[in-house]
Amino acid sequence: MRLEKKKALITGSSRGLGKQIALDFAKEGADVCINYKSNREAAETVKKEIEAIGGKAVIFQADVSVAEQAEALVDFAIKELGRIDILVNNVGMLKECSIFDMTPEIWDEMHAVTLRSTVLVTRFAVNHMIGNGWGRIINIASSFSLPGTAGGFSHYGSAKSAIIGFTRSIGRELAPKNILVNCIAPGALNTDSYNNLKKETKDMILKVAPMKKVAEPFQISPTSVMLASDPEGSTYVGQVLSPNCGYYIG
Amino acid sequence: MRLKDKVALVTGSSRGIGRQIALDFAREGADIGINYVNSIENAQSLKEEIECLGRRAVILKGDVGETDDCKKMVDTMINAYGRIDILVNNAGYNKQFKIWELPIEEFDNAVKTNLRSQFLMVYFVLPYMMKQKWGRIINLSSNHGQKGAPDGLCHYAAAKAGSIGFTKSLARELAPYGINCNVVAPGPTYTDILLPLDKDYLKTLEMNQPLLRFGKVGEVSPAAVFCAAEPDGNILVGQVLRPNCGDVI
Repeated sequence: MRLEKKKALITGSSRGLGKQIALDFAKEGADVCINYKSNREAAETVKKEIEAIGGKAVIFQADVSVAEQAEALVDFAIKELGRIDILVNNVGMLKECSIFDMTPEIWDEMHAVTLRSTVLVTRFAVNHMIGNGWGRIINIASSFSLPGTAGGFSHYGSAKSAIIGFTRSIGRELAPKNILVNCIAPGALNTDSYNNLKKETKDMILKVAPMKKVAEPFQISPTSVMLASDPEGSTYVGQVLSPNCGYYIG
Repeated sequence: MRLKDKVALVTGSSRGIGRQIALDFAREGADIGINYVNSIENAQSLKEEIECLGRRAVILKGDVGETDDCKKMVDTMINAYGRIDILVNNAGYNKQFKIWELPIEEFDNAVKTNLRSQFLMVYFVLPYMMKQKWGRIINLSSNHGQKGAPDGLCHYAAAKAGSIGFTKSLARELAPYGINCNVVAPGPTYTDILLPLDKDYLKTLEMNQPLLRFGKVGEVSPAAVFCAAEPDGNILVGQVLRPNCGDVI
């Protein structure tokens, strides 16, 4: 039980990678705050699965790209769990858009949902985390942003790379307070949004990776457990961990 | 037990990070090959600790800089266990020389014991991993290899940087055969290497880290477990893990 007695908030945890991280954390003994935007039923299912293994989970609806809702989520997690030890910023949006079709609105939406949500929730959470003497923040970035990915990923790549820059900077800023901030950069991941990409894009992504497969969330989530645990994660500061089938080796 | 019944050869495991990796592996259910070059007592005491955990250990005396020693170690492992699942290339050594005082033999020695050694061990272990289409190769590099070393360790840094290029290439070639290759690049770590250093100088170095301290061996070794375990390391290909207190970001 590597996360016994820890309190974790995971944004966007009703499905996909966020859900798997919530389940893994609960298996390791953490109490979890699940967050969803629109699919209440899916969130309830995650809660039931956690309770079925004897864990504790609470649910809060919030669109974390909106400052007031991000703050309300953090306040709820503090009220229900007592504190936040581990924050996983998982909310993001994977969508293609050629630069020639890009509008300011499409650009802004990508950055609001993918980048700003991470920054907002972090901003409100650190107020509470700073006094605890122990904290972990795990941001979900993407390996697609690092080499650049052909197709229509300029806005996605921008937002996900910004998460990496943000992570490195606050990693340095918060390390002296023993709040360790790192990010995970998956490659191709079997989720609805990945499966909705154009076939040519998916073929090209698999061609680049030495290991030709699309990962499952359970192959990414152990990295989040590692970063959240002591002593496994105790000396990671501002790092990018990339379980990505070798899509980006850099 | 994340490494149940796996067989792991850890070079340079009589002390320091290598020793902790061997212990962590054994705790996770692996049988171990302990390699040492000088200190038989340390190797013996590690063997006893591993056996107390209920796992097997064989002792492999050998200098990883010597081709014949590497071959002999792998043969001994195969005789004992019939296979090798995990290779941790941890053995290495450093000796400080400012570049303007660096003897040519010392540069050669750094490459021989830190980099060529990693290739030699892979060379002899690989046929066994290829045959079973499963393997994990974990090569130890260093913060010095990534960002350069400030204090008379350019030869060591060259070898450690070489390890990164070598491992990434191995990863690309071997991923299709079920063999995942990755690097663990620690930062400054509390081991015997620090003992001769001035206490005030050490304090200055510690304060330079974002985490305001160095790492303990028990905070580095889990990275090797992570690379070796399933599903943790299943899709980790050619990566450089950095449990380094923020020394290299």
